[in-house]
Amino acid sequence: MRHIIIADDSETARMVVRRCLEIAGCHDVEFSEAPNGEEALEILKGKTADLLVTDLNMPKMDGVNLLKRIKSSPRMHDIPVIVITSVANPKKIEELHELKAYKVLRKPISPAAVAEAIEPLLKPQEK
Amino acid sequence: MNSNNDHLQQIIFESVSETFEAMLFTSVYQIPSPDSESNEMDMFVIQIDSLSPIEGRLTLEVPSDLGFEITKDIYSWQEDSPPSESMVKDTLAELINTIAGKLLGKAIPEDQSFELGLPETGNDVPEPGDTVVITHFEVNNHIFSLMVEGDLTNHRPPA
Repeated sequence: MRHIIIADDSETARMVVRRCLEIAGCHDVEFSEAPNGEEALEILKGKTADLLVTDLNMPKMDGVNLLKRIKSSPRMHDIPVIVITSVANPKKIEELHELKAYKVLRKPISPAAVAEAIEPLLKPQEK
Repeated sequence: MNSNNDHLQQIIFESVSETFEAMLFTSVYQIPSPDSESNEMDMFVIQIDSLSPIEGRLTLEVPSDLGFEITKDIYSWQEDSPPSESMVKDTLAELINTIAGKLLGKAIPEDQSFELGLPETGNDVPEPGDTVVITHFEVNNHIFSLMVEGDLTNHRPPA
């Protein structure tokens, strides 16, 4: 079963992301939720993830620092990170891609935008 | 009203309208300032700061009934009991975060990034500062307002 972590300080935003992922085809998935980057890393200590979806603006540890920590870790750097943020303009998207974000989506998100972003990740897992 | 203010009003309306259409599938209408203060005493007040490159603050004032209605819509609420007040505040915080992102995205050239603070929620209506633009909207027979303060009000259209 795939494991997806959703990090956002807003419970509403986490619910919307999860619902969009489900509509986009993420079935038979274990979802974990974290209100900030620190707790997302705590979850990752116990179990790796097939995808991490994160907001940028969060207390304690924001999305940029979470992304940097994941991409600098030999154990975690392969985890695709999708950033969903309200501050995504072309300059910010460029900055996040330089930090190796897999995709950057602008709030408000739609199931269609999420489906397009995760489509390559939903291919059957090779054993 | 000068052309700068016209442009600011235009991008405020676009930001609020696009956010409501995308998150709630509903249309909002910009209305003139109401003749009298709202009789709906219970309000949710949600603020978010624009930190850079433009300093300013956005304040969303939403009647309590509308706040609960918006939350039920977003959550597709089926339960008999209403959502909790903390859920409503969280939903409205996400709403203003999205509105602010859209507004700054329209106000700032594409080759610059921008930063927002974290939304703060309460129930007390703040006194407006000296440089303020207040825009009123109607949605589903409720009136709400968005107050924009600070350097954002001196915004000029990107060249």
